[in-house]
Amino acid sequence: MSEKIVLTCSDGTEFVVDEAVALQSQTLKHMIEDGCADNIPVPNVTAPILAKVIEYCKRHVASADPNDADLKSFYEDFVKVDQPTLFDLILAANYLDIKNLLDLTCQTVADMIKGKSPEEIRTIFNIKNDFTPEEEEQIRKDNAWAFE
Amino acid sequence: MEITIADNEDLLIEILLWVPAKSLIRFKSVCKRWLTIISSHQFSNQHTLRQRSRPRQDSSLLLRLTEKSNYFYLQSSFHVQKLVPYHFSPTLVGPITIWSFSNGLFLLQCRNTEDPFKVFHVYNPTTRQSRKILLDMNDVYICVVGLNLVFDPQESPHYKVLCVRAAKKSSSFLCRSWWRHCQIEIYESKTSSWNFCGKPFVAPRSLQFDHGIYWKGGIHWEGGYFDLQDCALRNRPRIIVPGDTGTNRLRENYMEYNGYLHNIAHFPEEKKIMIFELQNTSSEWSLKYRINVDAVSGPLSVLNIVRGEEEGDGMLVVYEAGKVRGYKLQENCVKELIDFTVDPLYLDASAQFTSDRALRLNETLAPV
Repeated sequence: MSEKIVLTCSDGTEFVVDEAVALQSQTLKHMIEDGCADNIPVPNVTAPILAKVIEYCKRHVASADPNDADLKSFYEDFVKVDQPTLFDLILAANYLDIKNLLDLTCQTVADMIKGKSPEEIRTIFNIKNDFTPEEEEQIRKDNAWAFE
Repeated sequence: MEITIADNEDLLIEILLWVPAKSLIRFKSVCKRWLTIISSHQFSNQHTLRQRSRPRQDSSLLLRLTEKSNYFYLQSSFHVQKLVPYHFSPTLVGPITIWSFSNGLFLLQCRNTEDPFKVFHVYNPTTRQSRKILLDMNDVYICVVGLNLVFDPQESPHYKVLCVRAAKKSSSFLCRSWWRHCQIEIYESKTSSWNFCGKPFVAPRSLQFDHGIYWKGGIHWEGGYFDLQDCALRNRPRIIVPGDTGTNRLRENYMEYNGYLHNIAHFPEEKKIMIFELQNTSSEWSLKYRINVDAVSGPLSVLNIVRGEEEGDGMLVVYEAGKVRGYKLQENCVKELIDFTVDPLYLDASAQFTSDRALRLNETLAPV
């Protein structure tokens, strides 16, 4: 009978997981090792995101063999979420320090943005263009080959 | 939540480290902070290191127009169906000669500099950064007969320049010597220094030491290769062309593809191209692909060989009669990739892009 850990997310919902699942997160691992294993607050993460993260960690406990074809297809389906969810997963993976989830989600975003124009990038990340039109034009001219 | 990701620079960098180099060059114009991140030496190093773990990409090409100094970029995926003009960094002054290329870096010479025979540059065409390299001076081996860049980011972030030197023609013995006395010298970017490599050797004057290809620890030229581990010049196994093919007007190109060395042999009279493959220097060549080029009437230049995105997409990229075409390796079909006839620089009935002016460009942020 494995140890159970209770995780409380931002809105107070509690999630009960096996210790092995929680240990996938280096952040939680340190907290468990430090003895606060009864009820760990995860205030930065909302319930739906925490549920997804737990789903990921559970799958990883089952098998983390990179050559496992099932695992590959699990990853592909796992990241088929909308963009805000994907970004929230990145933030959660970062906060909880789950390296392979962070890699997976960052790579997914990278694949999503790689073909886009600078304007589209600004929209996705909500970035203000602080170049003057002349400055921006100069960058485009210098690197015209990359802009086609 | 988008705001939070963009504000968290560490996470932003984590994402950008997975984005291919070419897209990152474009993203320099997103905002000033992105420009700073992407241009930083540290990020470039990390990005190059990160790319090591990813499968090798097909190389794009930089093509130089015959008799002109215009360069064009031809991307490996052929999504963009035109040749895009490429401009070198304005810090490189004067007509540029590219001596060698290796996995995304070029070794070039600017013919208007203070000492064009002594000053060379290692140039990254993606970032347009360059580093000056001074050739060593030597009293005995005065002539430089070959300069080859050796760079493989999968092995090391540092690069080498292999310089083949020859002693001046000795006036004493024979009026005309068929041989040259040579010595190889290697420059290491790690230490910024030149060192002799191996013993002096004698090579026939016909042996060319330029346009070498770095493959499996050796620099390969048409006539042989230099093993960098043993510092010795060696021969490759001979290619045996199947009996019924004449070697009249044979044009050969050597290219690395898929980890193998390939010899692309074009027999214009028989209207075919044979592609031979070598697994390593101790194996034998095998005839891997045959391509019919019956429909070609004018000059044909082999530019590149690519894997493509799916299994079986392998193509031989050629230039003929104003078009860039892709001949599928495993099926008997050809695809038109780019129509250059619509470009203002197009000249009818002229081989405007040739194999020796097709430079492989692997987009990389690798610092020089």
